[in-house]
Amino acid sequence: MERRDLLKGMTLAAGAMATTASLTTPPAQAQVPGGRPGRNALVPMRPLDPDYHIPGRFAGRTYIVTGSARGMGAAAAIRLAREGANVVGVDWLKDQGEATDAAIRDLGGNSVFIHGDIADPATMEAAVQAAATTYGGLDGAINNAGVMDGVYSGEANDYDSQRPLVFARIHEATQDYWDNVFRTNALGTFLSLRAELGYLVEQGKGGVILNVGSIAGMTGLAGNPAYVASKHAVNGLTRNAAIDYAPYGIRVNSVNMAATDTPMVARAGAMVAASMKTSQGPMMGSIKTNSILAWTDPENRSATVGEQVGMMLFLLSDEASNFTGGIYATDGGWTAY
Amino acid sequence: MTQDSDTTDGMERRDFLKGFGIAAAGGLAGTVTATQAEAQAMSLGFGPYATAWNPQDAAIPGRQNVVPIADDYFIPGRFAGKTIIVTGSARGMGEVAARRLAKEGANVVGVDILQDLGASVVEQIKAEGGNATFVGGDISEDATCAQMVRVAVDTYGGLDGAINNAGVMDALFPDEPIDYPNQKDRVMARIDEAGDEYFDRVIKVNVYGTFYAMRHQIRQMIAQNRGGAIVNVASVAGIRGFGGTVPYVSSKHAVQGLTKTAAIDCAAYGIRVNSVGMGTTVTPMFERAFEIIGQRRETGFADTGIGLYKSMSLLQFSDQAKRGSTAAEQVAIMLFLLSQEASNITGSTYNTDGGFTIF
Repeated sequence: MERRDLLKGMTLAAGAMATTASLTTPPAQAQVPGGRPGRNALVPMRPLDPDYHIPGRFAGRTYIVTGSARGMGAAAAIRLAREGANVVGVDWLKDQGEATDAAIRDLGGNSVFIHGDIADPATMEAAVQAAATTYGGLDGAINNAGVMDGVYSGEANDYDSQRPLVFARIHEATQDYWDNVFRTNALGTFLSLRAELGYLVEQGKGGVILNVGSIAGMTGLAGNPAYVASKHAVNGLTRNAAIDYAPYGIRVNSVNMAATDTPMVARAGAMVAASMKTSQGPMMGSIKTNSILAWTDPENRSATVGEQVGMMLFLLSDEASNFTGGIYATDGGWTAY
Repeated sequence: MTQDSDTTDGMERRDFLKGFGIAAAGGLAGTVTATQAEAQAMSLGFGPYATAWNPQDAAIPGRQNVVPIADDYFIPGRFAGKTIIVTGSARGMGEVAARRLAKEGANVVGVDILQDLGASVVEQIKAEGGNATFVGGDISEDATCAQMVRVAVDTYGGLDGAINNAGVMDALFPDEPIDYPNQKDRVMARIDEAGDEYFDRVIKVNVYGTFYAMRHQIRQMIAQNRGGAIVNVASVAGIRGFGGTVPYVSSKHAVQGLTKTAAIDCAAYGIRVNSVGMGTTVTPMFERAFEIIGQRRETGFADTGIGLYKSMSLLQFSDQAKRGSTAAEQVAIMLFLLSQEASNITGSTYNTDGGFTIF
């Protein structure tokens, strides 16, 4: 039951404000031929084994991962280390960031942690400096840190007190909400890119940067103005940087996921659920609530973090040598329909 | 391939894996310590991402060329026991895909209209210890597409994936010598000058061929009830417009539509369908197209030139030798999309084009 609620929350957060109709359908009935609405997979898509990795692929290379404390960032940092990379983790969540860092070192990997806010220029300058002084250089970055609302992600959920900073339709949204989301997602990504690219150009041996966008950076979602606009900004930055840094052998791409099993999305689901108790007027969140794969899955499952990290690491690898400026949908087909 | 030689292959592969210390690639979770010990060997061949221009550009220092993935790079064991169809396997991207899939453990069913060349590629794969079978035929005929699936089932017991790569830019037979003055009605032209045979043949191969191939592949995958993955080869011409190549642009846009609709209809059966869209990639198809255009120019043909106003990707423009994509660079993403790592990716039409479509 808890699992189902969580999934519901994640589904809601991706599309924001959804109906729960498809979630009340028992899975057994979903397999009756003739068009059951959703959860009808005869062969559910099996997620990638969380332990899967390609040993040695990033041996001796150094990557920055922002948002390394939890979710996709933690999974990316750990898998990179397992594949031989030196990791510089960055997060504003100190304890959890240190925990990821320690987990990598416990496994025998190489990691350092920079505690700070990516929207503070000093944070990413420190991260690049740490790569240089600890590992002798930098090969690339996963700019993954991002927020869906304006509340510091270290705070516990409390919709009533946090409401002014939680996502809402434009005419109901506060400027503080807007400013906070843009501060992390747009300014923070710009400052991350500036520090990383400045160093990579100076270093003179190319590099690869992967920005974490979202389906919200490719299409519209209800009730999430700052997230949608700031993730479009991330994809705009991706395209701009791809053009300006191709001459330096630096590739820049983004991945764009639908609902993924992360703390950020779980929190968003809780905020949506709370907001629905007080919201008034027409809500558009139910117009589209699932990716193709989530809709067919018997549990409407979201993407796992491992499924997202798989594509991130492919794009960081030498195998992606012809790909730059790509806004890659990693969304279970959300943007295909 | 006999049972005995299969066993031998298996032994050799294990020895290879042991030698390079990368047996964990298939998901055996090694410790990071072991990984790092293994890493040195695996990283052989991986230098920096880019190397400096040589000679350097005196006016603009710091210019770099991206280093393409090595043509022989592969991830051992990734497709062990999987059976994959590759259309257009005689040359270019299809040939590279077939070879790499076999090296990664797949049973490959290669399909091509070029019978001798297609058969020889398969023979080479087998000589190197891989499992492969060749089906000669034209994918624009439904019977060929039925046959490729039947061969997969009869030879290897089923079908797990497909790369629908066969495609054409003109109506010439793929190894027909180019003689533009006598082929005008069958090669690239603007709408007002395009011939029926030209338009029909390109649409027939690229659209009907992809449809027929997917129809049979998906029928088999649904019947097997174990899912599958399909990658269709589109092009930047499936995303953007290009001058003077009417049915190619139309047909590659159709491939994108086929990809998205198939992704929706197949999701409940555990079948993922995606496409890749490359820019200039160095293959015989592309080289022949260039030769046709060159011969056309010699006839005194002239147009406004708008069709070539934008012709290079970011990476091609930035490269000292103005290199396009290699076939191996395209095959890398095709195989990623076929693999279990792409378990959340379907209906995507990936631009794999050195940044061509972002500016």
